[in-house]
Amino acid sequence: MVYVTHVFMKIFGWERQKAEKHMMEVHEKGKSVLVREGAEKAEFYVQQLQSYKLQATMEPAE
Amino acid sequence: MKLVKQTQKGFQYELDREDADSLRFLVKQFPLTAFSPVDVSKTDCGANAVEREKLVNESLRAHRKELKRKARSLMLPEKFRTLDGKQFFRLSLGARETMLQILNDIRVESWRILGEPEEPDVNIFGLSKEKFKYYHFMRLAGYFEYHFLNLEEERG
Repeated sequence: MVYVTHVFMKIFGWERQKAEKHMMEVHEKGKSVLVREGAEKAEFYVQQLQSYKLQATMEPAE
Repeated sequence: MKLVKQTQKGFQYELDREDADSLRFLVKQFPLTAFSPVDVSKTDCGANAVEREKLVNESLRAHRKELKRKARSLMLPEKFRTLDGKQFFRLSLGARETMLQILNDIRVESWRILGEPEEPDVNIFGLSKEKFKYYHFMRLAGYFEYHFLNLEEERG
């Protein structure tokens, strides 16, 4: 869990508290909506998260 | 394993011989499996999404190849210094991120080989010799991953 928090802080530049909140969501619900961005930026984040071997996808806004 | 020095440029760890040998052995195993493409979206099947997935997977494939090259250089003998029977291992900030990515890749791929078990369900006595090897890799990678991160946190 400390790994996931670290990766969120590293990639998104978040404070620990925010990173831990999303990490806990992933832990408890199996997923968390991390950011809402345009396609290009979202693609970049997916690539970054996957390079740390975290399963990440981007979905069109509802 | 102990964090003995932390600067703005990186970290220096003190490892006992057993940990140093285990780390060298583990990192040498990378990659455990061939690259497998990832799904970039669960719901978007449009032409743009297909192209996007292709690009992301090309990038990830190249990244993993680069990690393999870096894994070798991380474990070069000069990265370890022996003093009074203790081994000191240095990592720059960037090299630690590389190390974490390598360790987590080993941990996740081992877990997949084991059938993606919930950890408490792993009956190690029921594992074949081959699968026990991956169970060991998974635990070892988790151990080092945890310590590379937590030692920093403990020092604040």
